[in-house]
Amino acid sequence: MAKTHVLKFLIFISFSVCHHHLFGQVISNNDNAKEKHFIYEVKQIDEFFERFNDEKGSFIRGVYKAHHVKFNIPRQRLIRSLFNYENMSKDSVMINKFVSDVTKKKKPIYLDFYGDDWYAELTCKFKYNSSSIVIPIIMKIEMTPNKGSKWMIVAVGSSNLKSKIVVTEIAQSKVKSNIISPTSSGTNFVSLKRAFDDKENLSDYFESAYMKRSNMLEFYNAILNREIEFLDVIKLKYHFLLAGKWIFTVEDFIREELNSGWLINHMEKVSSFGMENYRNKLLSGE
Amino acid sequence: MKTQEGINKKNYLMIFLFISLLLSSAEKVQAHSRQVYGGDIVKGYEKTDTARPASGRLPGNVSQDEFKKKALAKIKEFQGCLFILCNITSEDVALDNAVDQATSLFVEGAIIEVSSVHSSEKKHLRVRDFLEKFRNLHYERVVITFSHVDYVSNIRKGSDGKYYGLVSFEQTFRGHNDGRLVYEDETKKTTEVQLIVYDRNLRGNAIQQWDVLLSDVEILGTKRPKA
Repeated sequence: MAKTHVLKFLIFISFSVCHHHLFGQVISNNDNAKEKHFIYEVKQIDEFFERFNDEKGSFIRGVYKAHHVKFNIPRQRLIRSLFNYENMSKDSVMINKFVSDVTKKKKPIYLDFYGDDWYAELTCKFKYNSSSIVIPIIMKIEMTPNKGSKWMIVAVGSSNLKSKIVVTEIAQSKVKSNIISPTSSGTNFVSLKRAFDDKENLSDYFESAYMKRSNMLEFYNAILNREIEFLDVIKLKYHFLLAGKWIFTVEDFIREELNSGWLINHMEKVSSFGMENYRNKLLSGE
Repeated sequence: MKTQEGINKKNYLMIFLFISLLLSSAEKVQAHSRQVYGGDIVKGYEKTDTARPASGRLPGNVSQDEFKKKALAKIKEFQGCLFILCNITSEDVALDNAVDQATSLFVEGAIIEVSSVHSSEKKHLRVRDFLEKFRNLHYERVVITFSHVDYVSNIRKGSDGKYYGLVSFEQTFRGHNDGRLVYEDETKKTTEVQLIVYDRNLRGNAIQQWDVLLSDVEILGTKRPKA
């Protein structure tokens, strides 16, 4: 009995000492520190998925293996590291509830890259009437029968765009193989430039079932008829709607701290009604 | 026969070894968040494979590891071309060859986006245009250093039947004139890579071969350049 207490005490001490090393590190200007920052930064949304799900082949596990260090970070800790602590430290109660819910032993919850419960919100800049205009676009990953996937435009947000031409018939694409690849998110969706220049196959990049939603057809017409010209993606944000009760957004935080990269910046627990309301608002471009 | 005292000593030794291992682990690879907690270790859960449906063998009998290694080799080859292009002693023929070689590493129509966290301006360049700009930098000496660690993402199958991945790494660029540092920037580069499978005719037999080509690139300046 006494031995158990000594063991617990020593483990507690060792964790406390480890905490001293791990809390709030700011990187100084040297190559080792830069490398360490690169290792711990969540570099891509793909890596966010890897860490959240604690995948066997994750980058972080690979680094530990390469350093011959046993990987003993539990999934709870990995998920905690995915929060932006500059903004979310005040929400520690909710974070605790969330982490305990998604890592519960009986039915843990994972993110599915190919699932229907996450969306990319792109704030895009277009050239319009010799000036520029900002239009939000919502995209999601869509699976195809060949077990492949692609990013598709599913909604367009409101803007000052007033297209002069109205086409109600969507032209069928001539080549069916042009896509916005599932990894386009990693290069700031620069492939949208190619997609919006591809007028012959423009409809391939839009989810046809959602074409009648407000703003979508007008936006499609404006691109097709060269009324607007895509310049770049100003800002990228991801919305996750998890397990029918958790909503969170993920954004890129570039800073010289280990807690950096693609991190959860907003979270709320909602009812199933609240979740559908959020999804509908997102997809109606509100 | 071991005494109780001996067993206790052995147990305490094991505990101290365990602690020293924990501490040395923290020294070697320091963890990644502001707040870390020692929670329960989750056991026996079914993992979701977010790499599906491209997990397992890829076309051309290529493994995920082979794909990743080849992707990194192509990145290193591209970096090698950049070294030649910024070497003031390189002759025109060598520079032309480096531009051609670097361009051949990319798929047709690849776009390079150059931006900085300190500016709202973003430039989109074709690969050859980017390389020509790089070639014409006017520094007596350029030093480029790349991060030792590269991030290679999961490989994902596109609905077009191609296989895609991402490689991220960091680069520091330093330009010197008159023996002193006159320009320095740090960038994070992310390159999309594609697996290409093709048939090659060898003595009348079609043999399936594969290669990895680079595609779109995002170059993000992470620090304000020192000029």
